[in-house]
Amino acid sequence: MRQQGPDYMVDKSEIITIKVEKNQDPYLASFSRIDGAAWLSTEQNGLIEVRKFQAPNVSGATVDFVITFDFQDPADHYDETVSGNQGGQVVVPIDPPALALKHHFIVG
Amino acid sequence: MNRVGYLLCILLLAFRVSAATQEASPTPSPSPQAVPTTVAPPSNPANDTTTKESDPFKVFFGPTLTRAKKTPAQAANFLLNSVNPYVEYLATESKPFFFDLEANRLDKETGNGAQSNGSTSAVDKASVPWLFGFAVEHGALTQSVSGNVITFRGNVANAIKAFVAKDYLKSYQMGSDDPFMKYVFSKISFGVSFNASQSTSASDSTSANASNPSQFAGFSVHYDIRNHRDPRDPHNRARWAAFVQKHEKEFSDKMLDFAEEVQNLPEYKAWKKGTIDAINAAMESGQPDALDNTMRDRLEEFKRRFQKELQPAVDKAVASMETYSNAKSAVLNAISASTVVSLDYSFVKQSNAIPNGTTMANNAPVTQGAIPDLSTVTLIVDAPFIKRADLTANGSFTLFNSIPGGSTHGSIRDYRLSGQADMHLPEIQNIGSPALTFSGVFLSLLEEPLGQTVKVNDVTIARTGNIGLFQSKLTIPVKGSGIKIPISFTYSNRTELVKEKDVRGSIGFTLDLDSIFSKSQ
Repeated sequence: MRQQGPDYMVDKSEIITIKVEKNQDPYLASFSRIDGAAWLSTEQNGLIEVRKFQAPNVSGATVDFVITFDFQDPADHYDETVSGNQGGQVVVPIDPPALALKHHFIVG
Repeated sequence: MNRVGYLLCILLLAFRVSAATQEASPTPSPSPQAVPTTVAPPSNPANDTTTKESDPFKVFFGPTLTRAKKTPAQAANFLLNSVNPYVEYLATESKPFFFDLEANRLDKETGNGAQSNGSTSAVDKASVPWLFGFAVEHGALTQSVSGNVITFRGNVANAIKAFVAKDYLKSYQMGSDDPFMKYVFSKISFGVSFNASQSTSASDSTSANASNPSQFAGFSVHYDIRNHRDPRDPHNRARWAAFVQKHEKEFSDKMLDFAEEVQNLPEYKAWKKGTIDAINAAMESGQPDALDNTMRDRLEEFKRRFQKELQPAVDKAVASMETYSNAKSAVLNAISASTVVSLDYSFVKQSNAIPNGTTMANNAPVTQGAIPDLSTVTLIVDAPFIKRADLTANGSFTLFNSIPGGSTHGSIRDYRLSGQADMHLPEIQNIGSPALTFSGVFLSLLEEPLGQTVKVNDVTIARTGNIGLFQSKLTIPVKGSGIKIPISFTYSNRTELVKEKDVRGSIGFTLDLDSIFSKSQ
């Protein structure tokens, strides 16, 4: 998995993990539905949420979803980590104000 | 900072207060009110019509550009994948949605409001110990003035943090993992009052502040036994989790709908490629405004090419933003209405808090040592009552710190129980939402008040005995006029407490229509 401009390039059938971590209560991040794949697992424990999906086995296929990051305090902060089981990791720091961030994955 | 550090700070504060007290001689003050530690809910952004910046590009993409510049590696990600700024930018009639709603609250927390502007001149006039002026300047305390009495209030944890951290954001995070700070210090607030009229003069206040023995007027300590009105309180996790599961999830789905509408536009791929190239060139140029100018141009092109086609999707996305915003406001309102239980202790140095020349009930002048100091303990409960109603109940007793001569009941001066229920009635078309209030007070005055007066319904009580008062009030607003018509009913076992215009025995009734006629003139 690697980032190319605004998109993530992934291998066929690669398992992608998205981890969202907030520094303090309340946790106000949410994932939309996922188009082009299905969530393999979703776990949330306090201020940490981890989701996984498997990329399609078709070159050129795309996977899309949105994560909304909302805030309640100026000191709030999120770290989003996108990683693939074939290697590669991208950490995206997110500070206020709130943001709905699209994630677009393209199978290489 | 460890616990020893916190304690040293408190000891420093305590030492300075104690030193000023000992060097000074005593006075009373009105009991300093409890410092609110509740976080006020932010205003509903959907109803917020104020926009400081009129340039839509700066309003909607300013924060995104800041993010992009902070992490250049993520510039294209933030500038092309942030969905809500595109919706807002295209919805020319919409208002800023996700703006930094907490900015106002930040101001409140740091104590930079009108009452605590850190003015050293106010402190000089008050002639109070230097530490309080210093604390106000640094946002550790707030200051208010009522008559001649100046009161400094603060939260113990916040005061310590403000002294140590100097920066609000750092100070907020400081000690957040320390249970001692979290569960003890953060729940205690305090107030210290000084009587400015006792000071010799404003001009010599700087030198006199520590030597004039007549300034310290009293103090109070307030402890929140139960208070979960801070949205960040872990007790609110379940409420927030339910909100995220339903409303934020729906909102994210709607944002994905919009993003996919954009992605499916036939010309979008070309625009996207051109924008990525332009962002890369701007970032490589190293010029400060390059990215702003590039994005401004690219977004104008985006609007020109796609706005018409995207309008139905924009309208749907804006509607979901408003729904989301209203749902979040509802959560914050529910949190701000949760039950609060607190205990308040106040000490009044009577001979210092009463203005010079005041006489006692028997017309004897008040002199130092002639009247005992007062201690009051109050239990306060503020709870949601029924739908649209809040209930506040107080129970208190006041003690003389030394038994006055001729006392028949020892050191207890009075007991008091009071309660008030405020109800917001459903809106009446073309009139507005009336408010209905029921309040009641029971006071058992065991000893004649010596020094500080005892008041019920704003009437001074001098005779001992039991006093009961019940009042109900209906306030009807006149829509669009700013006028409110109060209709009230009062019952008391003492007729002097009934202040209504029409009094029959111990019952009074008021229908104040004067405001309407004065408005029509």
